[in-house]
Amino acid sequence: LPDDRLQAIEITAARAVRDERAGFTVYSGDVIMQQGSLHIEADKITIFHDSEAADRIIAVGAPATLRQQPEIGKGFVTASAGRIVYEKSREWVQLRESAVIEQDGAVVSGESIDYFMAEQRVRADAAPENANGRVQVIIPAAVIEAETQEDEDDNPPDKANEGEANGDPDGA
Amino acid sequence: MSRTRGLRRVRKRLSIPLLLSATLLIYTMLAPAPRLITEKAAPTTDARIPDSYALNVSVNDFNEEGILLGSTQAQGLRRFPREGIVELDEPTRRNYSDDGEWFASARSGQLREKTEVLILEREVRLQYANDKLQFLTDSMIINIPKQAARSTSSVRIWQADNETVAQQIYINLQKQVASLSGSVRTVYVPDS
Repeated sequence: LPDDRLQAIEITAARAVRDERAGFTVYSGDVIMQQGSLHIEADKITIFHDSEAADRIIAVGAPATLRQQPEIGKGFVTASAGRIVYEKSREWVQLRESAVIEQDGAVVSGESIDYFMAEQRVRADAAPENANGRVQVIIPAAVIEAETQEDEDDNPPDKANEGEANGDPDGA
Repeated sequence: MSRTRGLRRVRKRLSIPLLLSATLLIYTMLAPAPRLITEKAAPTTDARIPDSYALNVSVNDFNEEGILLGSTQAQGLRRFPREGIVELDEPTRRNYSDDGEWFASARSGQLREKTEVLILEREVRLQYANDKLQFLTDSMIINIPKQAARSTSSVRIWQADNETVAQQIYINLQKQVASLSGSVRTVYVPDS
């Protein structure tokens, strides 16, 4: 939700190692992190607390999973990857290693996906070093129809275009 | 005929308990009054008498070059040389070293003289000097020479508004690295 990043972060785990000088804590063993509607599960989560406010969080798992509701009433965004980096202040999630992100049936997968929570925007890249790496996007038909319907509602075709559409060049 | 035999059987049945209670009555009257077993005082062992005790104590320890390693204060101190133990009331220990200072306090404690292991009990608080981080627990064992602390009773860690709880902790005081285990739970409160 938009105010997720203002919520407290709660982490539970079997073990943790807190290194004061290095400024981070590593949680391991069934690690669950919750912040508002954002929910991450991983084998290991590292949280950087040098400025006391935990800002950068790295989750590693096989895979690590993430779930968040972008807006009230909207479907959850779910994602998974070998490595998830969450930059809280920039509301930016980086999914690396077999990354997959899904919302309302639309699925994007690739080696590297960036999810910008505030704008609900996704950018996917294939693995640079892998020549035939591919990004795959699957958008269910229902979503396409819904969107084209929305487009038509937002900007109905005007008269000139209508004439052409009916094969009458003068649009009379 | 059977009625009289019934009566004779009832009369016989009643007489046995009567006979018994009569003999019991006679015995209790004649037998000597039972002597209360007096609680023999437990063999007196030497009550733990300290060899020496002191109030409002401050002890500084130095290394061979005369560099101050640490200081221990206590409101009360009792020394038991035979056990190699010093008991402390309201002890505080401040430890100075190149790697960083730490500070510990509790309601009571015990110092093992030979190993310099400090056992702290009740309202134990440990803190790195240069940090607002606090470890709070009910009991903690600090090995001063090894600069290591361990607690097996639940521990709470405070830093600003962030709180972590766990069932056990081991702290490398020199490196300032704490290993927690057993239902670890942390809440990070965002900057307001």
